[in-house]
Amino acid sequence: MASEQRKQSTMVENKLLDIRNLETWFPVKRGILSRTVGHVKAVDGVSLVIGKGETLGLVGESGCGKTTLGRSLLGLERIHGGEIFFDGTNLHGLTGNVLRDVRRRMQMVFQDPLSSLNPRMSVLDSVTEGMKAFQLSNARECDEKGLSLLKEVGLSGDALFRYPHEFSGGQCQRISIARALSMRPDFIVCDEAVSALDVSVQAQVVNLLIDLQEKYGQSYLFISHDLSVVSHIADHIAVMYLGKVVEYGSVSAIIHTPLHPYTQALIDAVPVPGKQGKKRVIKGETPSPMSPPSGCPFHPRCPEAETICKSQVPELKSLSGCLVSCHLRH
Amino acid sequence: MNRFTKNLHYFSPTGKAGLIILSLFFLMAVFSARLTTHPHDVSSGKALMPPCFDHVLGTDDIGVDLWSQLVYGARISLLVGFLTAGISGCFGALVGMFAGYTGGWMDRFFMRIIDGMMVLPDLPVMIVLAAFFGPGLAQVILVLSLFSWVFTARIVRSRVLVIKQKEYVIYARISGAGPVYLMRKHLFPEVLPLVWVSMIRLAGKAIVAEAGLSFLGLGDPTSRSWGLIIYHATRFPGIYYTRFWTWWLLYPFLALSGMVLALAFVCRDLETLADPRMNQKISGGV
Repeated sequence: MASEQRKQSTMVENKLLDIRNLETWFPVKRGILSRTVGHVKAVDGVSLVIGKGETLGLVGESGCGKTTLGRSLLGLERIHGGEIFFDGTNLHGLTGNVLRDVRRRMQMVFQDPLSSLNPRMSVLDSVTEGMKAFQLSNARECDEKGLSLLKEVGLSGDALFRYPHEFSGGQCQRISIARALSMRPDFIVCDEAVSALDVSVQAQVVNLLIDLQEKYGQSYLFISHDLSVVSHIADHIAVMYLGKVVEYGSVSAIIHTPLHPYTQALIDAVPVPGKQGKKRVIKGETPSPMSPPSGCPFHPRCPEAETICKSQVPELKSLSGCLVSCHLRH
Repeated sequence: MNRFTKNLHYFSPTGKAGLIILSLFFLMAVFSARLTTHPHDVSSGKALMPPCFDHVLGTDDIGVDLWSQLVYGARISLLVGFLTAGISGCFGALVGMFAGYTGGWMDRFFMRIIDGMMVLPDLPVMIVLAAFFGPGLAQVILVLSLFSWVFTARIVRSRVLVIKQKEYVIYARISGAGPVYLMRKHLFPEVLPLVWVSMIRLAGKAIVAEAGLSFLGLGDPTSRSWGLIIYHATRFPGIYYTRFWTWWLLYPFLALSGMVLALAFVCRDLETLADPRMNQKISGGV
């Protein structure tokens, strides 16, 4: 495992975020005494690296733990095991000013455009809320900064004193992006940030994110279930299945030469107009993360499963520039 | 004020009628001295006079003017209603916000207390408590508040649980906002309309409960509340066989019903206004 990590870290230069063997487990309590009878392993031993100014796309079915991973990075979930290093600092047990600074530098854009803004606060108040709380500058400068940020994300000046419900989903998402940017972050988690939008608006928002990255150089963790969107914005892609990363590699490698049977099926599932030929479709449901299958978590649904898959858990191994966890790939 | 008139626009006819009746009672309480010509606590004429020009609503068994009693009684009813609502509303909102925000065993602890208070038969317990504290207006308000805060707390808690999950609260949290900031900036403004509504509803309940306690002889014997007028009237031997009830019992009863109905109408309209689904329409303006 350690050697694999070294290989993986050589793939990304200038590490900003270094996730090592992260585990986020939720206890399952039963009975009168609320005894813990088991754990839902939402994130189960994930190691990932995100470089400075890089975008990591995180894909997977719903329930595979990608949102939990994003929330764990921001300290919204209690971590069961593993470590997260942000720009060289271990995020565990931070207090005081260091924690404050890290919080400023890690921001988030959410899925639901409407509920990510307080309906009772004007757009300007929402955008400058963080700046004012952190006293990044005095109130007037904050307002001016807020205005310039809103212009930058493509909203006109008269949007300032209006309320969230007067805007469309795409506009609300732009406001959320402006709010995240207001803190001058180094890292933004985009949790299904464009999933709730129309396809045309999705493209606009994704392009906005790319433009802003070129200008300010922040890193993204772009969580999505839509491979086509992710392939547009990301530099690397990590595919998650049942709390584990099953494949990691550059966008072109993942899209054009996927190795893991699950990734192959995911890519086949992307609808392409006029595409003919047989699709590899995976059958069945995602198993319960509370009692994951033995061996490879994907083996009950894998079209190529062999006996070894049922008994042994595959480890991530380096294979033609990618990391893949499958017994059958050599 | 501007917002108030704007919201008034959304009131139904019954709601507006309720507001008018309520403000009439308020005026009655404020200008009691100017509205009455006779004292409300000492005899000012013959006993049991039917309504006439001098005594508009007649007099009771010791000759005290009933109109004066009714007008001064409005003070008691409003005082009890709104003080009880205020105390229990504030306390309930605090407990609800605290329980909802902290969660965990604190939340469970408070919720079990609230569940318990809700299923307790309130009238018998109130009678016991009123007997324990002794008669008096402050004691009545205290006893009523003790039973009212649970309703506000429950509503507020459930709303806080919903808002806590909203992304803008999560955003504030990951940006390092503390509990005080979150409560002040995000939770309290959202919860406030609910508190208002439940306070109005509690005011109506408290007024009836005060009348009930007075009727049972557990109110403040020195203050002539509407309940106490009814109590004295029903204690009078032969009230049911004579025509005395047509002025002695009927008018306090009508006043009580009018006030409670008005509160209920206003409350119903406020409820629709405070409905989160209606929020956007209101803050958007007309």
